Amino acid sequence: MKIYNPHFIQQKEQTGQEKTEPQKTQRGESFLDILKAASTKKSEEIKGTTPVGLTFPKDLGLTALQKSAISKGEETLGLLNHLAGLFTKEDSSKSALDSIANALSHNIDELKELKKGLDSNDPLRNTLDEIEIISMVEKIKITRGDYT
Amino acid sequence: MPNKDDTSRGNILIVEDDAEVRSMLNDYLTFLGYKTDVAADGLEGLNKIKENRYDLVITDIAMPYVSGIGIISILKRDHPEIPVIAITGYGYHAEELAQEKNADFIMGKPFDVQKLKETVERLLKKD
Repeated sequence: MKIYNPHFIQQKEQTGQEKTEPQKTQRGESFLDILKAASTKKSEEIKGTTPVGLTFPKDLGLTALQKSAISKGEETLGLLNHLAGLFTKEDSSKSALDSIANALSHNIDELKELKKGLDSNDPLRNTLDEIEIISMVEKIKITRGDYT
Repeated sequence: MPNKDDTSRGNILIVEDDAEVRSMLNDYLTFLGYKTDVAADGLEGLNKIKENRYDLVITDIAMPYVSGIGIISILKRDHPEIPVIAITGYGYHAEELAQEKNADFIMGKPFDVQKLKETVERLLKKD
């Protein structure tokens, strides 16, 4: 499964200063910045209407746990979307990819915990499984250097 | 050498998005005398499972549209009698997920073909 741009080539090396601040990317993004961006984007998308003009129903009868799980799943999809976006930018760096990998790793752990509380027949589990597996694969591809 | 006349050894579906691995598995299992069918992604795999009867499914875990984890979940819910071998090159976490879904056997890539042969024989004997 490949969501990366095959034409992407890492062009910039880390500077000495960046090496002393591994939490920040060349564009000043930290792990928290990326998480925040992913969840802000998600909130904005939910507030508005979908491209086909549908609005989200206010109450689907979901439990608090299901809502948290959906929210975490959407946040993780936002991170994957952010990752896909990095490949279209010339200034994407190894540290930006590493920040995404850290954020994905964090979200995978949270998704696993949230899934434990869901009913074994809850269809949400399958959706979260798919998000988890994609995230896990992308995290491994980043950390083993497939994209650099 | 496998018995060329023995076409009843079992019908195996191979679901793998990597064309090279898919072709290798297909050639090897055909050589061993099994009847095989292939699918290039999870969705195609699920459609084939719906339309045909298989004695064993071998599935990759990381695939487009529907992952191997999705395939194992659906198979174990709708056809618990069909054994599943999960294969993955993504290490412990992927193997753990496959185990949670009750895959009958999990193999890391690159895998040992002799081990694959023995596992296929063992799982088909169970029937």
